[in-house]
Amino acid sequence: MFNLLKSDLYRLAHGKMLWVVTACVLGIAALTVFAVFMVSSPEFLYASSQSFEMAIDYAEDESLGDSSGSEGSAAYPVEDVADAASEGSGEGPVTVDAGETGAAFDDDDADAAVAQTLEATGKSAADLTVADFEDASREMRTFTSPTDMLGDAMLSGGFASLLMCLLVALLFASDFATGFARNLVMDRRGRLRYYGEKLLLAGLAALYFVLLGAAACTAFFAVAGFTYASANTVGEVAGYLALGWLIAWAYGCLTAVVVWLTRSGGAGIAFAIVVGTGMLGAVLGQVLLILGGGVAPWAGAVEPWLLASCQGALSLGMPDLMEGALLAAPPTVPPAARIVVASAFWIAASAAITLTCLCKRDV
Amino acid sequence: MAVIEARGLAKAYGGRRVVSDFTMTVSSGDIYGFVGKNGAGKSTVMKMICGDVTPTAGEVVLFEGAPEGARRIGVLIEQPGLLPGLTAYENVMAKALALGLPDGAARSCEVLRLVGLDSTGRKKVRGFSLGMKQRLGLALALLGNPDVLLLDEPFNGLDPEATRALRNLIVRLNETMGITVVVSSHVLDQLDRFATRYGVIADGRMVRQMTAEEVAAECATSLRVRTADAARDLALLEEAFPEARFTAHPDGSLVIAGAYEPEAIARHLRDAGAVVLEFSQDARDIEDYFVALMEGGRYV
Repeated sequence: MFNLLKSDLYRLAHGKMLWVVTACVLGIAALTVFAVFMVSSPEFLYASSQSFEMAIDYAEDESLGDSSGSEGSAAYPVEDVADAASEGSGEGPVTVDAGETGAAFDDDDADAAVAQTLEATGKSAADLTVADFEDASREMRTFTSPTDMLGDAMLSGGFASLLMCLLVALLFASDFATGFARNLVMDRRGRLRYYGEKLLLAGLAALYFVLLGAAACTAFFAVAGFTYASANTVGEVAGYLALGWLIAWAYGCLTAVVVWLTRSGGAGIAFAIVVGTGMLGAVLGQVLLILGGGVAPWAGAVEPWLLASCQGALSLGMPDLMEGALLAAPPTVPPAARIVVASAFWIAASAAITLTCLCKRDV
Repeated sequence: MAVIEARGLAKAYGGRRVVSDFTMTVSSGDIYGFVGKNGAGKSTVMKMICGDVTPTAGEVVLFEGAPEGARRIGVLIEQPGLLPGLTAYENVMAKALALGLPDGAARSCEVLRLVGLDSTGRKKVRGFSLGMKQRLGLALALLGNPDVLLLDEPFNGLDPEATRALRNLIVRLNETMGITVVVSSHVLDQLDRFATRYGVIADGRMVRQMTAEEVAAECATSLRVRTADAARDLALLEEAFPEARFTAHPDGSLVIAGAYEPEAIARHLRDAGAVVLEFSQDARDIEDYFVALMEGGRYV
């Protein structure tokens, strides 16, 4: 089995596929960091404040219109707009805590920072200058912890698992598309070795992409001047990456099984996009939650155990992932344990399908 | 020693039997020409032999039941399984690593030299000609120092020069390295030049296995005799020459093959008072012979 693994690593190292996907990981990480850097810049916040000002002007105009007799128009008082925008940021300095807000890198954070600045300076939006946003920008560029950053930038969004699943789909399908699998000994015992090795390879690929993505995001954010409000211990970071790796591996195994069952790279790619990103899981999760709220209470309890839900839970970061109190159900199981159980279940299920069905299937 | 023995092999896909009650014996040192029409079941049988396909019934015994027999077989079935984005050396090296060859790099260079692809350098396989791909497929098959080579339609798409080079290589491997070779083909004039033993498959069944000498004897000159009373004379000749094989044709002529002396036939007919209308010798074309066998064994 390890000979096959060596062979696959040799193929990956000498082929283009791995390097193209590696470049994609680095490129996406760089783009993510660039986008966050831009959104948190004083210039962007200033520009946001000006659009804020326009929104307020518009609201005032609408209010005047209302007072002149037009009923039913829903314009909000200026104070309400600012209050609403500042709600998400809570008290004190603005920190980018995506684990709780779920929106570390979008315009909502910028709006919250603008609202905060309006309140802190006591100026109207029209009087603000770029320099007024220096503090808000600095605070936006301070992550709660390294694991929060990793969760928001890479792991909880499914981009690492998507790229890993794409690699698995293309690589595993190519063995059958090119006929390379026929060069190997593929009797019963040979097939067992072959499929077993491929499931291990999916685990290695998952490890590679999780570590690569984590290293890239950490490095790029550091270069861009981002800092952390608190540090994680080495154990917390290692544990967090291990959880991300388990989920990515589970997605990789499922992709592999789909590719082997269909013998189609296209099916694997479609699966990677629809399932590997957590897209299907998110939809299924919503359906389960709706069912759980009404006709089938058990469905709501199932939702947190979906692989996609577990992936989303990575945005909590460490040490929150270890705390059971954050769970919807069942309260005694911390999210980290849920991730381990759900990932292990799907990895084991993939191995079982492989050993029972695929090993008997002709090459 | 029988290196491959197939007993009662059967394979069905979706209820449709493509191989039935198939029996085959390949002895060590043979160049076994496996003959059959397209769709007769040649590739399926070869895949069952190397383990890629699991038989529905029957069994394949390799090297008289030696363990890990499949590892001693080199395979080139249908298209060569090549990785187009890698070089020839990288393709071979990838398989060498998969097989766990202790001297993988040296062995890779050796097999590439053997098939004449040692100077392709950094050229990717996707840029290879069909002949080069076939030779690289053969290099992959040879990599694990196999005792048996299974080659399925290896001459497909090759130009005459490449065909000759590949044929010479197969013979060289057999003669100098003692590799038993099973070559399936429907191009009979290729097999005719180097096979030492033949097996003919038709509709998923082994019609006949024979040595090259037997084929040569059967395809040697046959005697065509037409007499005034074909039925009576056929009975007379069958009784007098039990070793010969007789075929009656609709035009009243008898074709006599196998062990016979033309003079003795002529003498016997004369002594029996037969009226001989035609007495000629035909040389049978090997292709006609195999085609007849592939049609299901009639006319043989």
